[in-house]
Amino acid sequence: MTSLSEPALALGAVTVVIAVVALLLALLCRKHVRRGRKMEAALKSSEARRLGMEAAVRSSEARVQSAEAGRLGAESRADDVEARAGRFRDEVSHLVAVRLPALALHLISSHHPVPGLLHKDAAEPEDVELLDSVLTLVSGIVVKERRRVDAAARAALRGASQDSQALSYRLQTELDALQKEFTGSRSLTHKVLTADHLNEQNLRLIQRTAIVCGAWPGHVRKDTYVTEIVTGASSRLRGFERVKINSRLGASDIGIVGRAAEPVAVACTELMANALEHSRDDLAVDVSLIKTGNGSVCITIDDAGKGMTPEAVARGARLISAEQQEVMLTELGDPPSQGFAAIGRLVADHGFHVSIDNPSPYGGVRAVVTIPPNLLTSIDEEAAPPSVMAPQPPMAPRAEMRPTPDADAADDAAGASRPRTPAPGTAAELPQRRRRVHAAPTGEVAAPTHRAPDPERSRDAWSDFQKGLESGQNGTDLEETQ
Amino acid sequence: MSRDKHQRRLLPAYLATGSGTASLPSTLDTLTALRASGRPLASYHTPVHGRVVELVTDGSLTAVEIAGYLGLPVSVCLMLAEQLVGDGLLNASVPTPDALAPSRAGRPSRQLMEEVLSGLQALRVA
Repeated sequence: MTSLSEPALALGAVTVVIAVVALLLALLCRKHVRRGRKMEAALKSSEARRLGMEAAVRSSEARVQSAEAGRLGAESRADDVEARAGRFRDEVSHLVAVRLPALALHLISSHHPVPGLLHKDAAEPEDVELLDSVLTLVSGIVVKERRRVDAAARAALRGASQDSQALSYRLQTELDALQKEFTGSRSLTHKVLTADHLNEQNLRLIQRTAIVCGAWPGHVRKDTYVTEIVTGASSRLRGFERVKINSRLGASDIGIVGRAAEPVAVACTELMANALEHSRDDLAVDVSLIKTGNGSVCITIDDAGKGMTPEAVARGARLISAEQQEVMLTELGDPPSQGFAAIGRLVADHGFHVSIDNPSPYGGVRAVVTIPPNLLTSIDEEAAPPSVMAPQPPMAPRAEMRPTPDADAADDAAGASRPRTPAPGTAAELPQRRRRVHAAPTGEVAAPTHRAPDPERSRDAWSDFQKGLESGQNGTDLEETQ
Repeated sequence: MSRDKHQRRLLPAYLATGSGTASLPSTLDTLTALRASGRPLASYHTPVHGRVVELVTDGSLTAVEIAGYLGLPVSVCLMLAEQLVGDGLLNASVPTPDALAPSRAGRPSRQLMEEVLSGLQALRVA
């Protein structure tokens, strides 16, 4: 068969091969077509993507362009922001370095100004507000804390002062009793009186401190004569002899109601203390008491010192005004000047008035304590006579009674050696026993006329006396017999 | 000096004497009779000095009596008197009994004194 079909075989083989090739080709072709389609799709999508990209590039270009334009603007704006931040930094450092320390000083004394912002015109309103709120907050905190600390200090001082005051009062009672009970040597009396005076000065200082720290004066008096109050006030000071008190009150029975007595005394003491301190040791401090037309009593305290500076007067007037509610120890200086502060508290509590802003006719300070009629009363002089240590009522009426020489002459002419009329003024107030009348040297009175020794009369007198005694001893019997 | 014992003292006694006085000798007794010499008061005298002098201008009083009138402690009154005697404003005299007075003129006779004595003795017996 091979010989016969060799060409056919070859042809068939070729055909097969061709067929196979064709098949393969077909397969290949299909593959290609598929790939081609894929590629086409890919191409299409890539084209689309390209288009999108282009659009994106275009838009981004546009954006870049606008960004470019914006960048130029933003650069200048960034400069602004930078400048503003710089200014703000400056303001903050100015606040820390200058304004806050100045505020601290300002809170101590209002003389120190608090400077404003560095760049006031350029500052943003919210920045100004923010920076100022820091100052407000800090000052609020400082003031609040200061009040708290001050109140604590006052409470401590008040407690200590009141304890000490109570002890001093007890010492005063003991010293007073010592003076009354013993009549030993004069040097002992002198020393007891000196101790008493020292204790009284101490008491005044303690009482003043206690009052400044919010305590009450320490005790309530009964209704007390104005003259006694003023004299008692002077007794609490060293150098009280320099205080010359002249009462020009119309009536001597004018008193201060009990609740205001001690406060007025303390106020007078402080004003007198100022007057004594600020005038020379040889100058008197004149105190005069006047009843004014509207029924008030004015206690005027004049010194001849150098006077106060206007600032000191203003400061004192502020302290003694009744409006002053709370006095802080930190405001009183070092050493604290407590006098006016104490007066201020008393004035606010008790409703009398004190002024220190009048110049004295002597060039110093004139302080006037005005006691309104509602704090005045009249005291029964019979029941409670004023102390001998209080200044005497006005002298004028006594001057009218003075022409006694004529009366004396008349007496002398009459030859009567009877006791002279008692000294005017004293007689009305004090009962006096005139024990011995030395009308003249004893030699003259010696004329035995008024006491002739008469044995008879004497004997009668003595027997009468004896009879009386007997009748007293067994009175009933005698009465019955008589 | 307080009118009421329950009230705290307002006027201390050293107001009467004045402070800063030198220490004085204790020459006067509570019963020493005092009498004003007529000299005027000086400016350094307190008003109470004036009251004391006023009291004894027309007659003698003892220091105790003055203290009673003025409502002052006796010790303080003695001190006042001492000061005033020292200043020459008061004359002090020890209160001698009449019988011991140097001048017998105007004094009771010996006979009268004897009668008084016997009368007193009779009183004691009775």
